[in-house]
Order: sequence, then C-alpha cells, then structure tokens
Amino acid sequence: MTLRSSSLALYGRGLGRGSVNMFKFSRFIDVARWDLTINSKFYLRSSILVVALCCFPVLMYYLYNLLTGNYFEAGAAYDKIEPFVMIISLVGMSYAIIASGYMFHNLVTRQGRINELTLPATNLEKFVWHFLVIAVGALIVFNIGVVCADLLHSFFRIGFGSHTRSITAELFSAEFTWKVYKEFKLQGYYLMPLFSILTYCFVRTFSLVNAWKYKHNIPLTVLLHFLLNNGFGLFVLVFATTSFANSDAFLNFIMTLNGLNPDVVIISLYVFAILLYCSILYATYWLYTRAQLTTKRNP
Amino acid sequence: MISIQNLKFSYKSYQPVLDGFSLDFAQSGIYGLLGKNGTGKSTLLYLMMGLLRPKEGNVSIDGISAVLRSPEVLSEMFLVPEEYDLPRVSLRQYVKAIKPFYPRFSEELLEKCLANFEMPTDIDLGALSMGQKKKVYMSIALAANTRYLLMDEPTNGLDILSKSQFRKAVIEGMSDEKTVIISTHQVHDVEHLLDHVCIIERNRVLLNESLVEKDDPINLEELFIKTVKDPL
Repeated sequence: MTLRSSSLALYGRGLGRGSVNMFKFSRFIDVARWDLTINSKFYLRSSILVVALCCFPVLMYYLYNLLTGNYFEAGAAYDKIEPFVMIISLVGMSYAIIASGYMFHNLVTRQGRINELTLPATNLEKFVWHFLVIAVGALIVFNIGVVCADLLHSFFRIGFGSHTRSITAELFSAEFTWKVYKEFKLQGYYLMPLFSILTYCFVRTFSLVNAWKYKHNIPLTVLLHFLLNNGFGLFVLVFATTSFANSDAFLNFIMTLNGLNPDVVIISLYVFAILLYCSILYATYWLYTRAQLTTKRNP
Repeated sequence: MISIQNLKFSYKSYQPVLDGFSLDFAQSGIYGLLGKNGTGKSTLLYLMMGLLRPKEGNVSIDGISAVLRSPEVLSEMFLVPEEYDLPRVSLRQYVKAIKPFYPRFSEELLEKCLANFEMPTDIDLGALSMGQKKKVYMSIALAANTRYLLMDEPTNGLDILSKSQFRKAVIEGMSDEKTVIISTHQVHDVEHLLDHVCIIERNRVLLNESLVEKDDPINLEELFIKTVKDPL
C-alpha cells in the first residue's frame, strides 16, 4: 500500500526517481517493530499500571469490607457497581489524556530525538504509528483493564455465591450508552457524538502541545486550557459591558442567529467539531515534521 | 556528495554558530573535521543529518535537502553522537529492529567490528558501561554500511587500547564508496586515519586539504595550531 505525492517529487530527484513514497506499508511495519523493541519495557510497564488502576477500586472495596468483617456490605455489591464504573471511567479519561500527552515520548530525551528523527522512515509513517499507539493501543489496554476489573469483581461475587452485574457491560452496553444518548437530544438530533468529538479534540490538544514542547507538556496543556477558558470567560464579561455588545446592530445579529434553522445549526456544529479535530491533528503533524534536536523550547 | 551552501545557524538569535558557511564533501574517504571549541563542528554534523534546521542556506545530500529527512537519504547516513544511551534490550533484538532500515546492513561486519573491540555478540545493551556502549554503537554504525557515516568525538571515553581498536574497526569497515566525517579534538587519535582534513571557523573553512598525496606523515596538531593562529 503506497501513497505517492507529486508535490514531494523533490525528494527523489537526486536519487533518480520521480517521487518518494510518503507512506510505505512495509516501512511502517518496520517503524512499529522498531518502536515496540526499543520501548518494550515502557509500554509494558504503563500497560500494567493502567490494568492495575482499573482493578484497584474493585480490589480495595472487597478487601476493605472483608478485612473489616463487613460481609453484608461486600455481599450487597450487586447494586453498587456504579462507583466502580465511575472510577474506571475516570482512569480511562486520565489515561487517554496522559497517553495523548506522551504521543512523542521518544522526543523527551536528546538520544531519543536522535533515534527518532534519524530513523529512515517518513514523518507520516512515524506519525501514524504514534497516533495508532495512543488512539488504538491505549484503548485496547484500557479495555483489557476493564475486563480484568470485571473478572476480579466476578471472582469475588462467586465467593459470595450470588449473581452479578458486569462492569464491562455497564460501561459499554447499549443500555448505558443509549441512556446517555437519549438524554442529550436537541431538535431530534443526538448530541452525544458531538460531545465525543469535542472530547477527542480536548484530548488531542495534549498531543499538539507535546509536539511543540517535549517535556512538561501535560501540566503546560492543563495551564493553557485553564488560561483559555478563563480568558474566554473574561472576554465575554468585558465584551458584554461594551457599547458594541449593547448596540442594535449586534442585538439584531444575535436575533438572526436565534432565528436560524436548528438543522443548519446542529450540522454546522458537527462540521465545526470535525474540522477542529482535523486541524488539531494536522497542526500536531506539522509541528512533528519540524521537530529538531535542540531549540529554545526544547533545550 | 554532501553540499553545504551559505549556511547560517544559531541556537540564540544574537549569536550565530555558523554564518555564511559553505563546504562540500565531494569525494569519498575519511574526513577529519577540526576546529576550536564552539566553531560549530557538532552543529554541522546535526545539520547534515537534518536534526537541526538552518536559518539560511541549505545542506543537501546527493541533491536532496537534509531538512526533509527523507528515508532514502537517512538510510544512507548514520550518526554516532558524542554521548548517547542505548535501549535496554539485547543486541540481537536491537539489530533486528534497525536492520530493515539500512539495506546494506551486514551482520558479518558487525561481528567483525565487535571482535575488533573485543566485545561479545550476545550482550544486553542496558548493562554496558559508557565505553562499551560506544564500541557497540560504533560497530552498529559501521555495520549499517551507509554511504555517509558521521562521528562526533568518537574516541572520547575510550581507553588507549580501545582507540587503537577503533582505528582498526574504521579501516576494516571502509570501502571506496563510503564517506566518514569525524569531528574531533583528539587529533592524535585519528591523524593516521584521515584522507582529508577540514579546519573550520564560524563563517569559513580555514583549510580543506587532501592528505592522500602527502609524502611525509603529517603532524595534525601542528597543522591545526598553525592554521588557526595564522589563517590564510
């Protein structure tokens, strides 16, 4: 599977070729094998940590109640799996953010940058691999964690000889998902996918900042979000006091917005969210192609 | 051919490391890249590898701009930096991971280089000392069989015996098509290896001379001091 780009024909001139392969599947597999080899311990340790964090609330709940002799409380856990689901969801969200913030973890050290940037593969191949690690790999690891927590939960339930509800089912079942979907509805449109895309946008901003600054990028992204949110809130407050905001022209404009067809508004919101997501990914890729060994930001 | 044209590069905007610098590495052979501290020798190697982006000018490898980091170019280049760390995996695993990227990678040559350095082949890279890591990494670099091999202070951290082993390994790993560029202050360690010598300053090449035709053995230290103190 190869993608050829005439705009990159310059690459191949000196080598007597018309163009260069921007994405060669065999080379992409080699990049994956290389990354998995040199980072095998890092990936293994982080995966074990995530699985352990998913199992932690279940284990703690049963151990605490069993060790304190509160068998009735432990046995009544059938109706109390929602806290597990909430904590595991929180672990999942935190993991998505941290994994996204570590998308270019090879660039953190000077040696890592040399290894990554001089690896004979295109930026696109390396970028796609890193994206798959955080988007697909992290999701697989998290799901393994959920299943392990569920198995642990079932194991304790069998110990009490009573039936059980599945944490996995509760997290991913249609009942859970559609319940939420049904609640967020506007003019007949389901808004949950829109919120999902916007959540992905939020998570990917951590990768974007990681491509810009290789170290301490996660707290920096949190700070940026804080400043943006507060900055925007402050702007709205200040703007509301201006004469322009209270002018007839502006109020008429707001009235026009209110009168827009809801179908147009919702579809526009979806288009905006998708464009925002694509823009964040492209900006991340663009910064990655310009990564250097040493800069003022990344000494 | 590595061509450097009107290169300007600075880490801090007010203090350029290289300014209007031009140099060609047209012929194959072993080049010694010499210069005073801070003249930009290491920076030049990083610019050749596409690890840094010049402010002005261009570095091209066989006509292709280095900043593009094209896989076709990178598969013909290998950098041995002054300081580095190796992943905590076995040498066998590491070689298996990087071998597909270098079409002429020779395991036979790797074994030969490691034997020259008196290093076993069955080793865990994470358990090596700094000097041993350097030997292993240089062996991998030579075994990659790339047309361009760039080494930054390769003999730093090596003992006297290892320095001799290094010279032997480089000579055995050389071929007519290869260009090896060694940036160093340790002129005595490499003077018998070199085919060319380049002495550079921030914005110019003070000396770019072939040593192949010289009848008498050259004292590189004297040549360096003379060139730097009394540039042409």
